[in-house]
Amino acid sequence: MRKQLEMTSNTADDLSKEVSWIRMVASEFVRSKVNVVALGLFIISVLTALFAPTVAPHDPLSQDLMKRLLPPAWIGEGTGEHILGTDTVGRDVLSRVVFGARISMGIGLTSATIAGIFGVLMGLISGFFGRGISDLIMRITDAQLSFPFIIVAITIAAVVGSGLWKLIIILTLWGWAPFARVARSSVLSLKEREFILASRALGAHELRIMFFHILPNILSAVVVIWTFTLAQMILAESTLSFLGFGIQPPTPSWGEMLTTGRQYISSAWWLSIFPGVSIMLTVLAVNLLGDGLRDALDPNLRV
Amino acid sequence: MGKQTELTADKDNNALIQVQNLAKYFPVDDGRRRRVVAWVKAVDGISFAIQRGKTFGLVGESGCGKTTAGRTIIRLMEPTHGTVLFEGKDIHSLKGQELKAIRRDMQIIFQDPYSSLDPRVPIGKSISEGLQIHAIGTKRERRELVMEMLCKVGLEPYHAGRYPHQFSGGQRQRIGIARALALRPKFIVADEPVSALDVSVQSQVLNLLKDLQEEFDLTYLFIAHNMNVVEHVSDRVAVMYLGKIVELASREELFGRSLHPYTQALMSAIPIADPEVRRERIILSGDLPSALNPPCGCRFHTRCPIAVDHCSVEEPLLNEIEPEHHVACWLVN
Repeated sequence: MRKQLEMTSNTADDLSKEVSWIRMVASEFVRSKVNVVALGLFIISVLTALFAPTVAPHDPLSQDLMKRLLPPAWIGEGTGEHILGTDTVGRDVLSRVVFGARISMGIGLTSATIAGIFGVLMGLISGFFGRGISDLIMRITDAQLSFPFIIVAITIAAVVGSGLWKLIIILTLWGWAPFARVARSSVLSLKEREFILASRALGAHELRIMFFHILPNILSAVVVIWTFTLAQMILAESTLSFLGFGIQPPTPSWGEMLTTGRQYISSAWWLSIFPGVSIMLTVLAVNLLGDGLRDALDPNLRV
Repeated sequence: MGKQTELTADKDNNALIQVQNLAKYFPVDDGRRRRVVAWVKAVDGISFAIQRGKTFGLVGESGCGKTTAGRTIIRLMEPTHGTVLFEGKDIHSLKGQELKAIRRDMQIIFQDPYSSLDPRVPIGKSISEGLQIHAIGTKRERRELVMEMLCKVGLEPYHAGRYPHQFSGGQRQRIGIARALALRPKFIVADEPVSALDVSVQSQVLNLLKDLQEEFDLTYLFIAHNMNVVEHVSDRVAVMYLGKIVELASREELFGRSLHPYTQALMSAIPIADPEVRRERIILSGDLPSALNPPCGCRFHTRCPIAVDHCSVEEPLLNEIEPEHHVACWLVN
């Protein structure tokens, strides 16, 4: 792509008229304020996760039993030192929410991306090669999609134990199927298009057609699924942690905070409300982002 | 049948392409158990030869197998049987590097300018794709050649970085032509290259194809359903009906003295730009029969205005009625 841009700028007399595809999508995307807000929230979540040690005012693990169950700053005994209050052993809730973003976003992004890459590869293979392989892969996705996720995840977690990478593997195994299906159906519809035939007539190898022509053309669909999968992954991670099969205490994760906060919901609501709101806002932002991307990318698919 | 193979065998050695008894059947399965229950005989035994530097027109109505024939001839599809000789080489027996090498010599221009260019690839890159695949020239040389090709087809060098959606149908067709010509092929299958374009643009593209033919010494297989267009560009013309060639002659012969009733019906449908001229129209009844279950005997007998009983019994072969004029009809002698 970069080479192409070089070529363009070398030869174009009227660069101003040059409309790159990405720029077109971007201008379509920012037309809706909801999209911009969603993107903003998403970026904030990612940055928070990345720079958690800088953003968090306290060590999320340091306990102070003298200051346990302090309410948020704007209520009663609340202090400016702990803006969102403290938990049952005096840990700063804000800091734990910030570090929780690290777990949620980290696991979500990693597993959605691995699932995406794996699923798209499977879809390409299944769309490109003969019926045998294609059928096999599609039956696996059928089976995959018919299992209730929670049951499977709990079973796996019970057998192999829980942990960061195990969680990512469970989520990846659960999330690749939609990518494979969409990739396969796109390949099947693109395969007969004339530009693919033209490339074949030029003598192109199948791999070249697959990665140079098919992949870029399904990428926008994949990006949309990726965002929706990301939202599901974040929710699933929280669910598993909430059920005790995910990240183990004392590592802060939103799901785990919900679990411990649940017992104090009537006396210390801030323990569960803030991680709950974080989950909600992040998932909402990612879902809206996916919606916006789909709308922005779709008209261009028809070109 | 003996006469049919003779037809191509006795052609002089100047033929660039020789198609011999070419057939392409598509399997139809029953949808569930994947058993082949029938065959669509899209192309069912056609033979002809194309002379170097000439244009061979292939006409017929939609669904008669023209496109399948064109694609099989440059091996975008494998034939069910029959052979295609390119400079005497059977292209369907080639493998690996040999096949890749011969692809340089044979290119195709597609009908639909909107589907024939990758929407995600700038057109300069599309045009140079063949050069890249065959590792021709350095990056700079390739770029220069792209510029040159753009100029040859009437576009500007600065268009190279643009995407297909920024061009009109006619311009896209020119880009498709530039892509096909970048490898300097000897033979081009032009699959209805102008039928998706406005009439005003059609003639520009046709003239461009003619100019390029002279400049690069190209041989065309020109597929079309528009008789006027075929008359304008072709040296020899074959008329196809339901996967078979029914008449094959030079342009002058075919357009001056068509012998097959189907060709005559097509001719009578060409509009004449003179309101004073009255001419009898031959109107064919019914639709093109399904290639899945073609009529027995002569495939045209169900719609033929002059059919006799024998036509539905035995299939007529393509016979040389007059020198260089072949017709498949029982009633033409």
